[in-house]
Amino acid sequence: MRDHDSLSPLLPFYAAGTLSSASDRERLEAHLAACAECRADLALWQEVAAAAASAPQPPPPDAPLRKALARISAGRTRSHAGALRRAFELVRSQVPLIRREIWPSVAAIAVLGVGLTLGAGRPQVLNFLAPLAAAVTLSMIAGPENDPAWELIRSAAVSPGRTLLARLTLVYGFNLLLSAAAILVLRIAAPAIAIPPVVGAWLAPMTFLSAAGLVLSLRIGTANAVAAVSVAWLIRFLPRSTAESGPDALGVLLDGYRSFWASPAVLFPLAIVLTVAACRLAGRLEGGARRPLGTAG
Amino acid sequence: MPFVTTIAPFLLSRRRIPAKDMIALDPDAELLARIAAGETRAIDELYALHGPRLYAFALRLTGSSQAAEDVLQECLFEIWRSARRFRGEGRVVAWMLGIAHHKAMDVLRARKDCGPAALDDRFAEGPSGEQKLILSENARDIRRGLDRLSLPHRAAVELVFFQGLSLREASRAVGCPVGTVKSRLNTAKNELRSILRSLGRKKGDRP
Repeated sequence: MRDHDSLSPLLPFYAAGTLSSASDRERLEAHLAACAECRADLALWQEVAAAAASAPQPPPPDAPLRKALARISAGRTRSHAGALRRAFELVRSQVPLIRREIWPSVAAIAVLGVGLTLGAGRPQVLNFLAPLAAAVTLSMIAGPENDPAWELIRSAAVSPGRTLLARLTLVYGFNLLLSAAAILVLRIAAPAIAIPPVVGAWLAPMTFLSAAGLVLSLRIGTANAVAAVSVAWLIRFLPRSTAESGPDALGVLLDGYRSFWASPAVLFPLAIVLTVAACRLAGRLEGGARRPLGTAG
Repeated sequence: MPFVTTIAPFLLSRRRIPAKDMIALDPDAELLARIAAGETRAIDELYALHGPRLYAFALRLTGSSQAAEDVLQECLFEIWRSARRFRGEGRVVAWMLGIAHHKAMDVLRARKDCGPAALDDRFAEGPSGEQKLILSENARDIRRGLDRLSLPHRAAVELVFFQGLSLREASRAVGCPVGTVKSRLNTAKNELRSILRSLGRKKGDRP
């Protein structure tokens, strides 16, 4: 009886030929030999199957297709922003794939920066932290070892370059927003603190450093990229040489280095070049032999 | 290339899907990926390929050609809208039938609101062109019997026998647990048997 209860619901699928499990089929056939009720049911289902097989499929009218296509094109023209929406969809689809730690850590750094700046009464802390945090997070969005979604992206239909660009937009935008919020807070909370020019002091370095971090993380891995951009950024803050006897060679070099970080006209174009390079690099790595560390095998 | 296009829908889905499930060797998946990419010509191709079965499905579910056309239009539009949300769980055809089923329920519900008479279209229409085709007496009786099943039961039989869906596919298409599909089929069988009995009696009554 237990057999009957478990097997009789499979009869329709047996009759329709869609019962894929061979063991189910065998058990059902054995049960059929012993159960008249199931044989009668099967006979009915087989008639249904025969009726289905002989059912004609009239050619579908054109009207539904025409109307649906008209609606589709109407929807397209109504929202001129079709491409924009697709881009937005792509960006949004990346949100759950980006390391979750990024968002709170950047926020924490911004809060810390604002707090320290207010405490010390000087904006240098924020100027120091914001570009560095931005670069570190961007190093984390790409590169095999730190990115759980890397494997997925490598096998995806949307080009890795575009995917990378979508993520970059997300994380960079987030960093930008936080930095802007931090500056706003500072302006309101401590109007006395002189904030250096926004673009020159941190927007340009932040953009360049982020792009550099991205490229480096693709080339030498995330951890190395983080170290490299940190060092590159820290050197800028080395104290000026105290020697009064004219600038030495190192001092000249350092001054040049500092002025490099203070020239938006150089930093922005370089950042664009690096970003393009990163996208192309991601595309090249797509089919490449690099396997994500930790997911080997 | 098919490998790449098969995967397109998954990238845009929020859930991550194991690689082995991505490689669903379903030729329709490529078509769907093109639709997801915004290619309207792929809708034409899809309609040429699956229009007949979708239309037949909608026709038998709603019982009226006008309603079936409405279902088809809604269905195509929905396929267009949600192609990128297809997660590759199973065959594309089963997924489309699920949409068609859903739209048929919507259309029938709307018609019911217009008045009870609308629902009886398919009985009022009498034998349509397709039904005039010569069928064996048996098959015709069966199909007439199926027409009188209540909607959920007819839909279950339709999906399993006329569309060849597996138990799992059918349950996904109607949005019910597999147990519900099983019990609907069982009820359908009992109803059909008694309808056939009454049809046989009527047939005997006729001169």
